Amino acid sequence: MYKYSCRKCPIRNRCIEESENPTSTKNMVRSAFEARTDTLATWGLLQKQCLLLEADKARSRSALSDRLRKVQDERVDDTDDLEMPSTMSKSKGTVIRRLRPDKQFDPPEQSKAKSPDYLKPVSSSQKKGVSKPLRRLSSTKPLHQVGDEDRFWLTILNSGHRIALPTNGEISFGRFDPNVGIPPDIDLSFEDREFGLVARRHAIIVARNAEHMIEDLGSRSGIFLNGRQIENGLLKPKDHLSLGGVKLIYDKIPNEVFEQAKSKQVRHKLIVTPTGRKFYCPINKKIVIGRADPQVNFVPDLDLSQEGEVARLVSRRHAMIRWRYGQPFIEDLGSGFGTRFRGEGLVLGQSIPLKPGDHIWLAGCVLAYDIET
Amino acid sequence: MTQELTPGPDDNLENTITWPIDNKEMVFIAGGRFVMGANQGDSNHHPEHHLNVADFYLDRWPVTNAEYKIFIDQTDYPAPNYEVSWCNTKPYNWDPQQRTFPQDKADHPVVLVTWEDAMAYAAWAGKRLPTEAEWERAARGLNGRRYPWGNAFDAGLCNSKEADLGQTSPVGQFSPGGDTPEGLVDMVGNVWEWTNSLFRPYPYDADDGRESRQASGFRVLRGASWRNDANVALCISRLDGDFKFFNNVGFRCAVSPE
Repeated sequence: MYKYSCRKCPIRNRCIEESENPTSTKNMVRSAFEARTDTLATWGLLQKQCLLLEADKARSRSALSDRLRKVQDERVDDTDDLEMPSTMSKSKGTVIRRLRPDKQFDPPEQSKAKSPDYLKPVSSSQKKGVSKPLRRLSSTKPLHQVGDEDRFWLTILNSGHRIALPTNGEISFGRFDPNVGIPPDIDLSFEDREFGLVARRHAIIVARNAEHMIEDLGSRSGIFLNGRQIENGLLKPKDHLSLGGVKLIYDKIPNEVFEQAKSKQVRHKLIVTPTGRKFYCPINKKIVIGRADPQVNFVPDLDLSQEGEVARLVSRRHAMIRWRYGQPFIEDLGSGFGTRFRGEGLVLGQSIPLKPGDHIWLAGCVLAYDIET
Repeated sequence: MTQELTPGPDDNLENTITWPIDNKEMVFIAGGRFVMGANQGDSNHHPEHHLNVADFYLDRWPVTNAEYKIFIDQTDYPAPNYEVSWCNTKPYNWDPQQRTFPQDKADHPVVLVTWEDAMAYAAWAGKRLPTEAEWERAARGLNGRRYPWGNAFDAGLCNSKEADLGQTSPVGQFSPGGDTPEGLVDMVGNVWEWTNSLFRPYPYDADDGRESRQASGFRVLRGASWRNDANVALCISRLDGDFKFFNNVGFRCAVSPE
C-alpha cells in the first residue's frame, strides 16, 4: 500500500518536521524510527504528506528520465525471468525489485549520532568558487644565444637538489606514472614522496631569452609563487615556488659553481631522480648508461634496470658520458626512445657539456648531474 | 491493519526515488559486505579485501549538462568555460555570456568540473559525493562483478574506447544492457566520476582520514571514461584526480537514509 519505505527514507526527518502532527507525536515518531520499532501506523502518520511522493508529482519529467523509464520497462518485458530473483514483480509499469540479497548480513548498527561526517550531506559552507579561466602563455621575444652567466636554476629547499633551467625551450615538471601519460622532464615524485601532492602533469616552465615563465598544467594542488596561488607567472630571482609538497627557490646560477666544476677537487655525481640513488662518476673514464640485460650478458657502467618500471624504455646502451678537458660531455648512443637534454632531443653524434644541475631525460628515467665539493 | 504490525519487507516497495531538489532519480543500494579491489591487474587496486558499507542512495546517472545548468542558474555559480593548453576543452565549453551548455549535449554528463564544483552542486542539492567504497559496491554488486552488467566485456554496453565515439555520450545510450541490476546507468565508461575519498593505498579504511573533506590531496576518480579501453573500464579501476578538471571527468551524488 505504500510506494516508498519510511524506514530507509533519506529525508525522513524533514518529513517528520514538516508534517502537521503535534510535537509530542513528532518526537514519538522520531524515537520509534531510531529504535526501529516503527509500525505501519507510524508510517501512516507520515505518509499523509510524503515528500517523496510530492517530489514525484511536482517533478517535470525530462526527456531523459522518460527515455530511461521506457528503456527500463522494455527491459522488464524482455528479461522477465532471466536474471531477476523470483520475487520481482511488476505493477503499473514500474519495476519493483528485490534488492536485498538472500544472505543478508546484519546491517551495520549505526545510530544517528555515530554517523560519520562523510555520510552527511555537504554543508553549503564548503562551497568554493572555481578558479578563473586560464590564459594561454605566450612569449614573442626573439631568441638569442645566452651564455653561462645568464643561466638560472631551481633549488629544492629540503634536499638541496638543483635543477638547472634551459635558456630557451620548455621543461615539464610532474610525477612518473607507469600506467598513464608521458613521463615529465623533471620527475618530482622522489622529492614529494612524503606528501604525494605532485600531479602527473603539474607545471611547465617556458624559457625564452633566459626569462622563465611557469604555467600550471591544471594540477589539483596548484602552484604557489611566494605564497600566492597562480595559474602562470614570470619568475624573478629569489622567488619561492612550491609545487605540491616540494618547495623550490628560483635563482641565478652563481659563477663560482661553473668555476668549481672545472676544478679537480670536486666529485661529479649522477642522481637517478625517481629513486634518489647516487652514482659518483670517476673522472676521465667513459661511463655507459643503460639497462643491464643478462640474456646478452651486458652490464653498463650505470645500470638503470633496477629502477623498475620507470626505466622500462631505457635502451641497453642508451647514453654515454665522455670526458674532455676534465669536463663531462653527454652523448646519445642511438637509443630507441631517445635522450632529452635542456628541453631538446639529443641528436646522434651531438656531444654537449654537462653543467651542474642539468637533468638528462632517458626515455622517461631522469638523471640529474651535479657536483659535490 | 493493526498497529502492532511492523512494516513489510522493504523489497516490496519502490527502490528508485526522486530527489526533491534537483529532480534526479536515485536508486537505493543495500549495504552489506562486499569485495573491494583485486589481486590482479593495476597495482592501484591491490589487494582484494572485504568491506562493509551502510545503505545509501546513488544517482541513477551522472549529473548532466541540463541538470548542472539548473544548479548554476539558481546559485549564480560560474559556468564551466576554460581555455587551457593541457586539455581540449573546446567541444565541452559552455557559453560564458548565455551560460548555456554546448548544443545537443543536454543529456551528456557535465564535464570540466572540479571536485569543488561537484561538492558545491552536492551542497546545493543537499546530497554528498559517494565514498569510493560505496561507488564500488554500487558498480560491482555484492558478488564482485567485473563490469556493471556482468563479467564479460561487451563493446556495445558502455562508452569506452572500444565504442569508438571519441567523446561523451548521452546518459542512457547504453541502457538497459550496460546498467547494473539495480538500474544504475553509465557506471563504467562515458566519464570518470569524482568521489569523496582521498587517494590512499588499499586496504580501504574509512576511518583513517581518507574521507576528510578538508584535507588536501588527490580525490579518487571512478568508472573510467570514453578515453579508456576495456582493461581500465572496470568496476575496480581507480585513478587519483591530480588535475583540477578534465574533459572526461564528471560526477554523481549520493545520500544516506536517515
